[in-house]
Amino acid sequence: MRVPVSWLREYIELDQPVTQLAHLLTIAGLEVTGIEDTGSGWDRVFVGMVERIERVPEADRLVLATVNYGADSLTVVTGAPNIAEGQKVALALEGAVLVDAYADTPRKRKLKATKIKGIRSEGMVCSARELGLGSEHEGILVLDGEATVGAPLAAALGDHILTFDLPNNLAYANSVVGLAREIAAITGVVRKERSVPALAAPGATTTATVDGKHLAARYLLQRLDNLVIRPSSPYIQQRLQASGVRAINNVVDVTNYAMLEYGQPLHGFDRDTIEGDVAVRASHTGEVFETLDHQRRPMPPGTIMIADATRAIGIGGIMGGLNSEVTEGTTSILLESATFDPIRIRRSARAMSLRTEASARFERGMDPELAPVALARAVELLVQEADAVPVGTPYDWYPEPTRQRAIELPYAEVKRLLGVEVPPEEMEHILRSLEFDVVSREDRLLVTPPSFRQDVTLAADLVEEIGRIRGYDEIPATLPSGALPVQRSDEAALLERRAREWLVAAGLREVINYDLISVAALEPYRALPAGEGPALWQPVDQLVKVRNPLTAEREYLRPSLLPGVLQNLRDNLRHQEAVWLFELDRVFVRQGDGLPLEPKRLAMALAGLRRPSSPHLADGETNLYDLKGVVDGLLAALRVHTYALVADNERPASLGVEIAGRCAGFASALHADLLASLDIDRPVVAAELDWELILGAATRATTFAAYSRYPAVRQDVAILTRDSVPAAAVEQVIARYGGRNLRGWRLREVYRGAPLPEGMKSLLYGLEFQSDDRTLTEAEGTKGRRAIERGLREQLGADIRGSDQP
Amino acid sequence: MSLPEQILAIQSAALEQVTTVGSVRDLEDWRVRYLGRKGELAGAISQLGAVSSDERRAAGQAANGAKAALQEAHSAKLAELKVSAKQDNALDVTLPGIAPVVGGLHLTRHTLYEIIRIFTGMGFTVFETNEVESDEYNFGLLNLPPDHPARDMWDTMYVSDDVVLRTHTSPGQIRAMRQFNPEPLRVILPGKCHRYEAVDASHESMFYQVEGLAVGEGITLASLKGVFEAFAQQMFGSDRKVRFRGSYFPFTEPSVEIDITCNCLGAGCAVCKGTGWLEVSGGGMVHPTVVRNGGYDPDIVSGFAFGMGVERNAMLRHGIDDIRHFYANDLRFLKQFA
Repeated sequence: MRVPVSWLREYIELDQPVTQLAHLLTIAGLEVTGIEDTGSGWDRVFVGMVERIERVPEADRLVLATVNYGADSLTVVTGAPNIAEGQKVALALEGAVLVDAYADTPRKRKLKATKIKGIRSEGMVCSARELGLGSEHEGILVLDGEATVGAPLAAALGDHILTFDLPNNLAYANSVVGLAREIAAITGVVRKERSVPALAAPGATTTATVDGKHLAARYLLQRLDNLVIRPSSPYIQQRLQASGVRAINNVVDVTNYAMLEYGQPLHGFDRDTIEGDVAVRASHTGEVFETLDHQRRPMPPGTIMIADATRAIGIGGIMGGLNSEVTEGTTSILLESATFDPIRIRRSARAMSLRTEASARFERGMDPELAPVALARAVELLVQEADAVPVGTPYDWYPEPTRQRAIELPYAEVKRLLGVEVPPEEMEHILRSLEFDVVSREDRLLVTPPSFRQDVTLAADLVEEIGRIRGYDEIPATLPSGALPVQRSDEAALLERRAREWLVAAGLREVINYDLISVAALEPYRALPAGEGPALWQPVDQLVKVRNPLTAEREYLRPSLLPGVLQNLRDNLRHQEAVWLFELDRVFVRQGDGLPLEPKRLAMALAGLRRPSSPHLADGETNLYDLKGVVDGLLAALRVHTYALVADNERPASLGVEIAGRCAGFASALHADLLASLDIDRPVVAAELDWELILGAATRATTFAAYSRYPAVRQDVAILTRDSVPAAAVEQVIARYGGRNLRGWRLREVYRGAPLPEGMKSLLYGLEFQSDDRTLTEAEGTKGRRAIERGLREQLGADIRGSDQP
Repeated sequence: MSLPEQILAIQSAALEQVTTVGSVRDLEDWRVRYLGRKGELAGAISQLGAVSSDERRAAGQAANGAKAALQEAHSAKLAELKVSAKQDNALDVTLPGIAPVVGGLHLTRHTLYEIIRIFTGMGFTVFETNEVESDEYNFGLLNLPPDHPARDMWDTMYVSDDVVLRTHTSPGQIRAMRQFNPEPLRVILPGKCHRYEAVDASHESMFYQVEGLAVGEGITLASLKGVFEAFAQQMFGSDRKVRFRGSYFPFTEPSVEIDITCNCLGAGCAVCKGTGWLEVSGGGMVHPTVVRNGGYDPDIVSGFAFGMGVERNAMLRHGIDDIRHFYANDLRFLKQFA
């Protein structure tokens, strides 16, 4: 909402600077988001009076105007169609800086004297657009007749325009009068009441019918005859323009003006187009209606229609009809001021996608008591602006006048909610300043809000009024007192955090992706074999779809994380030598029409160099063993005792992650076809794991195990075996044959190639033997090693290289 | 060769050899070989008992002389080696170190964890609820019945008539209250929220919110101010102040906007558009209807609630001017913060 301060001044005395006013309003909840100073750039622009107009030879559209600006007169050549002798106009002298009305983008230019058709033009009469007052450029801006000739334009027309971002519940303040009320309460200045002539003209009373109060709480219609349609007075046009409303003609302008002033939407019907009485009814099934924007619209069920004896003539509270529009030739109107049902207005306006200024106001609830006041003000203005003659008293349907309920406000309630003591007299004073009716009882106030404050129904609402008008600055900052609530530690959140921090320490970077993705982004994963673990791909009818997505890119709730993570990986590989990413977050599993399940998953994708490239180390490309190490390390760190990483027999270079015998996901080198479809040209290893399974299996604390204090005996064994024998098989044998002193082993080297025969490999294991109660001898280590060697020969047919036994 | 001659031979061999020694380690080997307990000189001396007394005297003198000479040679060589070690340019210490591999949390997470740390320190418990919500929890129970005009404050993505992507973390208020009533409650509800909103530098269709909720006897707007001030001073700096402005949310009454003093500390700058204040949160006293919907009696207990955007917090802290950076997941962005 844009409000010229000069308009506010008609309703309240304002002493403070505009910035101070804006601050006070903002603190009270009426946020001022902008202050525009309209006169600030108007150097060398004055109020001028057009003294004489002469034709310019050989130029039909141009005239030569002599304009007096107090000190002197000068001549200007202008093409403005609306210029007339005796008008007061904005006269710019040479050197004035004006908006370039012909430029496509806003820019300013300095005025210079020119010659047009051989005639010297020494200045310019300005349009609203040239002065930065709006978009109007058809003609010049005509000033109010009261303006002093020769005065700087800023003195006559300069103003501050406040822009408000009003919250939803402050609809009552969405007008000049409404704001004046608020300012009165905040500043303690009494606002100025305007006395509006009563609606009681001679003549027949207008009649109409309203189908019920479910359509409108109140409905008024006033007949006005003898209208002359013409442009409205300059001050009305200028205020409308400043408020961001285009001036059209006097009747339309007055309805808009009265709405901005009082907050009540009004509508005028051309009475000559109406047959019989006006009727307010609900829309018929299948009804189609042409609104004044020339759109033929199907009427949603339950829409409030304004009709005459034969047809609909308007959509109540949303938009008038083309068939009853006020036009150049209109001489008589029915002026409507009504309180339409907010819910019906909201539903219809939404269903038609037709939100208008009127519908927005009705949706928020209008005060039925305001309807006659705004109507009377509009009638007063139409008498002035259009020579209108009101006929009869208005039709006034008001079956159930609103009665405001009294609210009890115990004094203690204010402190209970605000945490600060407010003297009862101050409470009373504030509420009265907001035009509430207040009666004081022993320990409480009985408060009746005015009819325009339908938002106030509870004691808490009254506390808010007291709080915001006092200002919240005095409220102390105190920490909550009383018994401390039990702090519940969230085990799941702690483990999640531990996992994230472990992964970060392991060199991975966290990403967070949108929950919404496209079907196309899932498509490359369709061909993957569906294992038992968490699925990456789901058929589209198994996904949760958003009915009104912003874009097709974000239409479905993701069933898996890797599609997003791999996109991040691809994007980052363009400029990073190493990209190790993880995401730990929710996926969505459809449950019919109910709320989906939202289990969490952990996805990882690794590509590029294993370590930042360094002159001291050879570059190494990330491979599956990096990923396996991360998965292995993480599960161990979370103390998942029941996990196993097992070879996936279906897929090469792939591991199944099992937890307590259940498949919790995979860790794989991604297939070249998948990578190609994702437009990634480097090897990628990736995993997606069921976080819920991990969470369920993780154990909180580990138990201390005493370690041996005796030295260990270390011996190596080099095993020559067929390439097809997996290391896991070798280790099984080691574990089985090593004896009770075998503490552990470590694979130190895997070697293939000369001088080994084709299809063979050598595995070098370091063995560690140790006892808890004594120092082992070298011989005991040798004995253990030999047992292992024997086992390997027998079980796997392996050769032991460099063995000291046959 | 007589014993004194032998000793002299050892001495001259040792002195000759020491000139070729190039490192402290080689020098040590040299010392062990000639001067060590089982070294050559000691070996020669051990034969003193087996020779005539004349020879023994001469040998003794020779041994003493040799020992002194070798020890001197040793110290001289050691000093020389230490000097030359200092002048050794083989190790170019200006070469880069070997960088350890480090990862990092996402900036949003990092900020969220910081917020959680501060509030858990004040006795709040983290409480997560679902992202896909019923219309009832997202709106209805929060004093926003169907057709309420204030529903326009949230541009909503719908899954069906009754199911939405939560537009705020506030439905968690109801879920937390229903789980824990009638006990006093202090929770923070972090999580992703979604809006049907055109994306630009300051608006995202998905963002993280943190909601704070305290319910119990004696909770007031002053407690909200105290808690938020404690938060703001830890999050943004101990010199920050908190200001409340009147506002409107259907689920709080009274409702306030919560501003903190800007990085410029009130001087006025581009970030605060000259006002000296930054809007960081909205909140108020939980509306009596919402308190009742949570299973508490609003005449006895009261509550405060507030909600704030995590990205906005991060943007203010780090001077980020475009929210679209957050979920593009570009490492050139993310690496700057962790």
